[in-house]
Amino acid sequence: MAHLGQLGLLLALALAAYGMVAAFAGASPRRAAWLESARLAAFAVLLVVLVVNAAMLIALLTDDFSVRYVAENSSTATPVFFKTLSLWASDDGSLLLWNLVLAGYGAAVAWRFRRDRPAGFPVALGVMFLVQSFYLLLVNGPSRPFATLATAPLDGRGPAPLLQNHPLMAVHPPFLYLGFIGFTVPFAFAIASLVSGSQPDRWVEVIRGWTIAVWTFLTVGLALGALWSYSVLGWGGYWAWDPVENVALLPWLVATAFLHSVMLQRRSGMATLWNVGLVIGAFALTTFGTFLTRGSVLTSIHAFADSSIGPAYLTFLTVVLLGGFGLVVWRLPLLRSPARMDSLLSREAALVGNNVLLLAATGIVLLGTVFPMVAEALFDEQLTVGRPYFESAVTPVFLLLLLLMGVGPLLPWRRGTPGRALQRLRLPAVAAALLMVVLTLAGVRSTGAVVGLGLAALVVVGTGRELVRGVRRDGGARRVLRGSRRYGGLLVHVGLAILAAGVIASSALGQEGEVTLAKGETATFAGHELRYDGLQTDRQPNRTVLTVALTVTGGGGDELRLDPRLNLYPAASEPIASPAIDRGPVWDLYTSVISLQDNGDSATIRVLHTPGVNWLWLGALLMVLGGVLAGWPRRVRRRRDPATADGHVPPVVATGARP
Amino acid sequence: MSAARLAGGRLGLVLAVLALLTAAGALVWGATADRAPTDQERATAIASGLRCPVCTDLSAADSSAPLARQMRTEIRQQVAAGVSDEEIRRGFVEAYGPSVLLTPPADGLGRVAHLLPVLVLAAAAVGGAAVLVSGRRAVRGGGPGTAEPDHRSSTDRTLVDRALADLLKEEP
Amino acid sequence: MIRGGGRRLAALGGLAVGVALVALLLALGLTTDTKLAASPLSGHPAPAFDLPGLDGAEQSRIRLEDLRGQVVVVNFWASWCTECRVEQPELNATWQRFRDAGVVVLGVDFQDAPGDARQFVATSGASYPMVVDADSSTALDFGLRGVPETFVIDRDGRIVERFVGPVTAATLGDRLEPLLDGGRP
Repeated sequence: MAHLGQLGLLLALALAAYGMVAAFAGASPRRAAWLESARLAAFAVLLVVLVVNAAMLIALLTDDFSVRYVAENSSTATPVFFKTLSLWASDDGSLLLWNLVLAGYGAAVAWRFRRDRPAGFPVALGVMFLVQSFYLLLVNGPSRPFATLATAPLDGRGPAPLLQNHPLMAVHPPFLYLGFIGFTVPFAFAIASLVSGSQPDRWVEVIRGWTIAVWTFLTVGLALGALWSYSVLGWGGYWAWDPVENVALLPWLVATAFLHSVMLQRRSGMATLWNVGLVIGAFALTTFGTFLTRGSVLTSIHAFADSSIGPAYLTFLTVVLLGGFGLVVWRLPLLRSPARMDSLLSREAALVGNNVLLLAATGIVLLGTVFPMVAEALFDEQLTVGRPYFESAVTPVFLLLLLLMGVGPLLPWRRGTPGRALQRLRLPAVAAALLMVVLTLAGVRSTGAVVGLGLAALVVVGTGRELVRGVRRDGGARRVLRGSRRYGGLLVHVGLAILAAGVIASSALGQEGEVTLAKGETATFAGHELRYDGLQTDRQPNRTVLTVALTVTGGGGDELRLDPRLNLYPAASEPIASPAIDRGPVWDLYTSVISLQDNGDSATIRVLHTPGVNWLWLGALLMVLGGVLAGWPRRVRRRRDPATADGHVPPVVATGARP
Repeated sequence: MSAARLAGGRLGLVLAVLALLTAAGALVWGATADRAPTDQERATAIASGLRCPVCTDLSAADSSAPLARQMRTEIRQQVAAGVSDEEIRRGFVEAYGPSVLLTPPADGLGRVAHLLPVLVLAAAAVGGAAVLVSGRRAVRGGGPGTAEPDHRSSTDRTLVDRALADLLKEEP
Repeated sequence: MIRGGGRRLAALGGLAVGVALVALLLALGLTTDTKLAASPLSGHPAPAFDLPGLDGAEQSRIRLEDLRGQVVVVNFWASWCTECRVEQPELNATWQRFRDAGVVVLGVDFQDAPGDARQFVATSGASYPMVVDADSSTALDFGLRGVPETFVIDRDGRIVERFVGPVTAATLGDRLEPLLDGGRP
């Protein structure tokens, strides 16, 4: 298997390199055959990389410990399911998956343009191959996933305990990869539009479509990561503002900014330069994030330790930044598009505000994340920039964004009158105000939380009404789909507001504590009675599971059993806790074992009573649905409507939007 | 729908203003009617601001590592003994250095970290204002926008006007 | 167009300089070794401790105060830590070499199961005294970030050196010798 894998990687690299040359050469119309062969090379790369991944999978499943990666990340006792996941449990293997996803995107681009070959397509394909070649180069040189051991050990070390503790590990990384790597496609088309010098506006539709898909994947990936953190790690939180989480958030923020400012371009021909810059920026940030997590700069639960490929990433990042933004500068005269602002009370102005705030958030998170690194490298001072810092620095920006989300979509394009805007805002504003009064009377003392929840209500009511009204007016599903962009966007807003409400409620209104209980003893926490009933030990091949049986009696007298666990893995210095959660529409009761004393005669439990956590998952789900809706392809209309023949979508009609 | 109608009209406006005023009043009242935090709340707040030294990402309040547990115990003991928040933090900084603080200290290099968000926000505000102002100028007097009329822009304008007309018909 | 071209070149130059700076910074970040951090306690009096022996016997309890006048090497370790197993012989060698010259090597067991720890000592053949920091309070006072970590305390009870990660008998010896010659470093 190792030989097959190694050979496959070499072949894939050769194919990708060929594809790159052929695609760039095929940019000339006289060499159409070259372009055709480059397209085929994209499928070939996918096939070969698929085989390579399969080879590693087989090596993992058959316990082929002569492969170093298998010996280090799997063991005979590892269940088959987690053996499969070991494919991306550590740096070398995850680079194989990375290459697979990237090859998938390359093939998707080749497939999408199987009939028409617009002017910039060869360059876009060439850029895809260029990026692919870099990542294939990585696995052929600095990282060697198929390196073998001279003598195969009898058993492997097994995957890191944290990674074999929950099935969510099966979906979180792949979705994150789909999101992260996907930014290559919009980037490739942005570069293509710059190189070919053809009207960048022609590409804006293509770039927008891919970006929505990628944004949706990244949203799923981030949400699953939060869900994993909450359900598995046992500290009761879902976002730690750890540098690796931050670098995953950065491209999401920039892509979100792009998806808004692109509306300016599509409707008013504004912000072309800006949009191309955002697309390149998002890709550069994913590369930067990869460099930070894999280039051995950071240590965290996500980072892959001891990797020596930092310099390679750094070189690539430099090339991306110089090449991408260099092209933007080079094409400045072509891209400069006039900004026209008929009124400050217009959708355009709101979209500018949106971009300002999103980029401010990006800047704050980016600088905060690299600050400790800079402080250490330049001043030899060790400082930490952590959760409290980010929370206080970013919260005002996010609150302003919520406010803008409540107002912006209700403003008309071009020109609004204050009276009209106020009229449409009245109901949501009253709802928000009422909620704020109720919350204050109910004893919520955090001003930030009250304002934040009020703003979330403003968005949910205002946008929700818009959504319901529009759908009711449009009638049938088909016509709703026609307006899917606007409805999708509005749905994302509602979802994000619900998610924001969850974040605000859970971080400001929850209670957390620690109780130590002897067997049979009862303690009271946040209106609940917790009783420690006993300890159960279960020896499994790959671990020992200690289950703490808790009986919880709620305020209403209803009894409930929670079973938080401690898992002992041979490779781990400390037991890994598995929390037990009673999830509810408003309140979650979260229990996690901190320690057991005297052979389990007493147990120390971390307990959290947190509101709104499930709103997070609901909000994220709505956002993803909205993303799918907004990105829904609309071929039918394009054929029927002659106005779109030249590639421009006539604004208001196409979106079915009524300001 | 009926709620929307209720909110319409002059009465609605008055109600809306009243509601907003009440909300503002409630907020002010809520913010001023503070009560002293309990010892437990103080201890949790202090622990949330300290890094668990043997973990990489979590605060001392969140980690279940024995060291973090001991940090919580010591914080609780010191809070109970009447030591001030600042002094409790200083004790940990003495053993671990300033990197134990999850928010950098407000002096020396740490001050730069605190200035960064302000600078970013200021830059963003200036940039946004510049775009809006130049956009307004382009509309008012022959700026770049009118200098090179864009065919898309004009179709766009027609379409918007048409849509606006539609809207006016629909919602009197 | 010429003016535009000049401006473009200037912008390109600015971009190149900016990217070069970013790359340089990141390269610096790559080469910075975060492990070589001096303890903020260096030069300060070592935090006092009074810890029970690993074997649980009352006479093996050790108080740092009682060791005043000797040079003390405090090594934090745990049985689950593989690097600790690697450095164990080095510490033993240091103890054998310097025990008659007024040096005490002291192992402090950190975050460990007592049974595992005792077994570790038995199999590794550590001959110097071992104590247990059951509640990690001593580790906290010393600003411990992980194991192994080794602190050198001079005759006046001040921390003079901290090693993060496994030590060797040679580096430890180099650090101990000047402390023993009577002279202060």
